[in-house]
Amino acid sequence: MTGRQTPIFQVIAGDKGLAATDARASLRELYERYGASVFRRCSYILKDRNKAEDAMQDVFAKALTHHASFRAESSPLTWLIKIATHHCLNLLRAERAGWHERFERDARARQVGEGGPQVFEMRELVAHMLSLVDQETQAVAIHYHVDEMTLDEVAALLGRSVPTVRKRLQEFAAVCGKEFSL
Amino acid sequence: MMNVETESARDHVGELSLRRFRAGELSHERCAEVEQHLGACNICRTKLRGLVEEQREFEREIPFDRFAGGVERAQRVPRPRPRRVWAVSLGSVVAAAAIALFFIHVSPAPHNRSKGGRVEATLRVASAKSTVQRIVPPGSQEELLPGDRVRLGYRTADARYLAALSVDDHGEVTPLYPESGPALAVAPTRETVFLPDSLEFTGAGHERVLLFLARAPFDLESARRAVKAAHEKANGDLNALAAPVFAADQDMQAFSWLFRKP
Repeated sequence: MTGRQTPIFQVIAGDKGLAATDARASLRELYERYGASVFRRCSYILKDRNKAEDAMQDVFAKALTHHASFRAESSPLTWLIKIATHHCLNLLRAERAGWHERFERDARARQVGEGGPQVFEMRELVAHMLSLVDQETQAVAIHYHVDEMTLDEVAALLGRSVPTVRKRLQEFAAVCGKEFSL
Repeated sequence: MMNVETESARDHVGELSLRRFRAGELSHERCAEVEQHLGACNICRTKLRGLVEEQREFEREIPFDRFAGGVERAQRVPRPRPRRVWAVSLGSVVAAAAIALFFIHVSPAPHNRSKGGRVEATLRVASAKSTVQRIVPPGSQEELLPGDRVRLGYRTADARYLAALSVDDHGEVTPLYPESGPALAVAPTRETVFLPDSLEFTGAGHERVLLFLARAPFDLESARRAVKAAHEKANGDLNALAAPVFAADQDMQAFSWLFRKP
């Protein structure tokens, strides 16, 4: 597999929206190049395939809507991954709004559920740890540990300084260490 | 303890770089570096093969037409997610007391597929302009005004599993309670229990709200599929939506309400 140098969106003209045929062609290119990467990111954060598919569609819809700025990106994939991460973390935060936790807590108090305790898988442990830190630290941790970006890359992507990114990672590592020591 | 590595400690091509390499968006220089590394590193070659296979698997699971249709719909109309509003904002203490005391008996209605057992559902609509709340019996239609919020409640004589969803004219199914995973296990209750918070529907057209109470566990995905299938069978006509069909042995009681959004 070799890298290609062809600009990805050179077929797209104008800033007033895409013609339907151009939009379809661009969409197919996005699908083939980036579909799995974005879907995987959404699935990783949301842990639900249907919600991940919805979120993925939202992300690509944003790419089409903002195609002029998107086209100007040196790395469309990095842009998509950043948007997908941000979008999914926002969805998670909305889901964690009080009602869900309160209802589940009440339900646990009322009765014993079927099947006993849930199996605490490693992925859930990671998700649990993410939930213990703020959203910016979540994004930093995902881009660094999952995307395996460098500190410089994470800092540039999120518009933060390298020392700030390093500090966020250290905070995340401290939380993880605390969890593992329990 | 996790360790925050320095860049120099990373001996392999990072995952995002490999993904960019696969997508063909690396510079000539970086691309040559990655190719050289791949020639000597079995770990990264294996990882790259995994990314290629991941894309194949993705295309098998989500065909392009389905992907494109979803993206175009999301672009055309922002996904109509009901907005939850804290229950405390509904109104006065009097209104809250009314909610706590109120329950209704459900008469046989469309989408009532109970094989027995006392199960009841209730729905209240709170107006944005006054503290008056109106009751909407299951099976009926209701016109919503701007700012109207909906609250669902249930009462059951035996332990049940509960889920609520809504579907719009376009067949977009939105899980309401819970938002994913298994249905909520609910204990027997002598008084009506209202689900947390209220719902405000966005967008225009119709929205049908469905509340399921089953004796056996089920998950949101099976409910979503059943609602989706019912919508397709009704050719998108929410007025004609038949009771969603679950597994034959599932003792399921379903309640539904049809709303015209403002």
